[in-house]
Amino acid sequence: MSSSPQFTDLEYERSADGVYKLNYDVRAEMDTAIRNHSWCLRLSLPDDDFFEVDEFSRYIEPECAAATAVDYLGQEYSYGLTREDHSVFRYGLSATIRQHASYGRRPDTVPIQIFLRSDRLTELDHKGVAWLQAFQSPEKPKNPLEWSIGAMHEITQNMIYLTGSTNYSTPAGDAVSQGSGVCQDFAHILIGLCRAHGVPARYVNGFLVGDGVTHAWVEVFVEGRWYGLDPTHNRLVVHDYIPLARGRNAEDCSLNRGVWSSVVQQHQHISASLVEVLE
Amino acid sequence: MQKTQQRGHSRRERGGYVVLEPDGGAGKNREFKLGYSDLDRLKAYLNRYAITFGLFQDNTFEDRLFPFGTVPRVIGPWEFDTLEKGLRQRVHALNLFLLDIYHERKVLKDKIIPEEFVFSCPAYLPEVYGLRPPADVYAHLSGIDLVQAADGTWYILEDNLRVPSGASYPLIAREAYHTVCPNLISDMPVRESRDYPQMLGRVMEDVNPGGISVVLSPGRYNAAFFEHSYLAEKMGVPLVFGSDLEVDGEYLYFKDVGGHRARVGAVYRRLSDEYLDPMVFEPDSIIGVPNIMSVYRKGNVSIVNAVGNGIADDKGIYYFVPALIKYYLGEEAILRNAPTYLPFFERDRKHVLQNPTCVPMFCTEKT
Amino acid sequence: MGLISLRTANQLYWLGRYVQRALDVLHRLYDTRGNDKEPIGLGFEEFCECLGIESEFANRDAFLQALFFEKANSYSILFSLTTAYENAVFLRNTIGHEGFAYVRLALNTLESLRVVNFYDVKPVIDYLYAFWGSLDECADPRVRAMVRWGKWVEIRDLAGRFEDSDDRLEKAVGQLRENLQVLDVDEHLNVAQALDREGGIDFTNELFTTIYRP
Repeated sequence: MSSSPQFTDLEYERSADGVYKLNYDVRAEMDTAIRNHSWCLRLSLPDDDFFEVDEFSRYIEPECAAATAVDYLGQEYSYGLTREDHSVFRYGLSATIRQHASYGRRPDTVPIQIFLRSDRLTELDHKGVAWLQAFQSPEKPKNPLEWSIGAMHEITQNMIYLTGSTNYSTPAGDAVSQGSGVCQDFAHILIGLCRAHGVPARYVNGFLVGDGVTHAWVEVFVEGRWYGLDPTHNRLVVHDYIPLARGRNAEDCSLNRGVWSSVVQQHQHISASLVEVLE
Repeated sequence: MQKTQQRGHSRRERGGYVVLEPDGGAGKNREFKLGYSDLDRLKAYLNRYAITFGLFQDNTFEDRLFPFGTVPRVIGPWEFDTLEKGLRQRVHALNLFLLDIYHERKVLKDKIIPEEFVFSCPAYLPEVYGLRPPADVYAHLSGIDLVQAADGTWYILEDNLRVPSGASYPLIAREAYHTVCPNLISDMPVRESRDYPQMLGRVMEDVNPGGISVVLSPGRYNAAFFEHSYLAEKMGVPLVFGSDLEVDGEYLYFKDVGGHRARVGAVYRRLSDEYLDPMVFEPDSIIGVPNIMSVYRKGNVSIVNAVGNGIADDKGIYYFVPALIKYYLGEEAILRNAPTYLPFFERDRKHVLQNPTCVPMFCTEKT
Repeated sequence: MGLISLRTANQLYWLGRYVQRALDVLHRLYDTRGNDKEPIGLGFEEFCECLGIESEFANRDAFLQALFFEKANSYSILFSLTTAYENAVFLRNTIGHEGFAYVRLALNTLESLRVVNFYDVKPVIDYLYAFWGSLDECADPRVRAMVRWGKWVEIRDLAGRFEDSDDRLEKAVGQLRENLQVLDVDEHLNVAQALDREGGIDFTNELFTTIYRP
């Protein structure tokens, strides 16, 4: 590439492969038993040039026949129907993953323009638009990736990470207004900023080394490649991130969806551990 | 066209209406008298069978009798044939557009439509990428709105390719005439229209990969619930709600009360895309069928109409339909769009700004 | 045989019950038409007692007005026919266009009345009988069986409330059993259990104490 971005502000760089052990376990507890429970779960690691998976296993309890299908991005997911009464629904996966230093993922077959369309979750309010205008008058024109990294810095400077300050359906605009959020909101804001600037951006759900739960970050499309940015930690996604689902926003990559007919209270215990294994 | 052929099909007289049948140039007009008592009977007929549409007003639901203009509007055979030809052409082109826009997108590469009109439209659904509906049919049923101008010209007002509604009412009207004033129909060379449910049934059979066909209704409080139940009865297929169906593994099933189940191969759905599958679209939808998109994607069930059709009847795309007909079929459009100006284009913008009488009729959907 | 969903089975059952409730209560009212001093059959206080209605009516006309038109009362004719119709709306394609029309005509006729005149009410009864007649035209034996299941349960229920002779009660149970032979045992249980979940009545128990009673 002629105008390869400069990563002087990268927190770290490394060229060696990393080997990781992934354990992902979700336990949903209902206060009363449910039945005829239709579900749809992301329990497959995506095909990727940058990592190889061995020793992969997954489980669903109560034990149940799971079918698999692929979504519009070609990502595999599991779905099924648990008929019997159950008050605990548990699923997860474990895998050993070898990851190459990755930066600049090749494009998918879908048209890139769909990652430019604003939606309810990534739409910005006037405050977000004001941020945007601040970026849009730089002294020298920036390469879109540098611009995106600048936007990421801006988010970090203006937003506080505050657990519980938002929920799964909080739009980016609301998070900007209150100045706080979690990784999902940080990602939505960055996506909103990039799209408004004409840079295709998408949401990634997955795992980060050391995190106890699932994590969300962003990919932006520049000069024919996808680049990962983590606005929560204000850094580029090079190592230590394993994606599970990609899509236009959080709803598009939800890791689980379930439907049953009764009204119950549900508590979810998610544990995700991604640990680097020394060879 | 001669003036008498376009207007004056009916005129009011003391004691009743006179209906004139235009002769199509073959001879003198025939006439048939429809008395006031017949009009009362026609209304009573609709009431007897509850030919209604649902209406929510002030938070209460009401089934209202379908308002029915009892004096038939006569469309002459030559006129009807032109309309039929023009509508077939239009729907054919729109179907080819849908196939193209979700696969190769040649229409964008050839710059027939500016790509932002497609990609910024919420009705364009990436969720159906990689999915090819049986027989490449997207628009199994189309509701194309027509309007006739004062000079007799027919214009296309809009296209409806998602969940068109209303086919049952003319069928019921025809049945009512057959019962109340049979001579009106049998003495005149009126074309049969009541085979619509059979045609729809055949379409469903043609695209059905195996199993029964069903009509999927969003519920009793849908405005068109009468139609759902009526068409199900006429086609002889079950009328179902989302909860009557289940996806298990590779297939969609109808759950019978006896404990067994039957595979469903074709779903004539009367709910919109966003409520169809809570696993893919609106997560809070309780009227859809969880995971139906998974088996649809695998080709194990047909959804009628196809998912994602909204892009073809979008108000922004309407402007380009004559160009799409030319592009896909190499033909001139037989039926014309109502005159429309799109300020997106310089020439149209000028026209709109210079003509203060130009009022916005509709705008493209919010993006 | 056609396919019937649980939902439809439930609606067929309740359609049968409410059509029959309206018809049965109307018949019993005709038997009480004598004057209050020497009633033929029951006086209206007893009538109310049998149906579990609080009897606070000033006179016979007030009672009749309430029994016909008081929608809040689940034994009023208007309530029965409205509920029957609300079930029938879902069943146009199951019981047929004509069968559906008779339920609607019965309801429309009742709704068009302002005061109770027994002669004016006659067409309501006619339409309800026409409904039962039209059910014979319905091709699916399971559909017929499920509507009649509701019918005979209602007859038995009212026979109990009005302390009818044992003969009538026995006849209702006999009809119920005969009618349900169309369905197999699994089907009985499935429908009954689904109806149980709807609340109100223990259908499974009812099946065991009536149909499968040794």
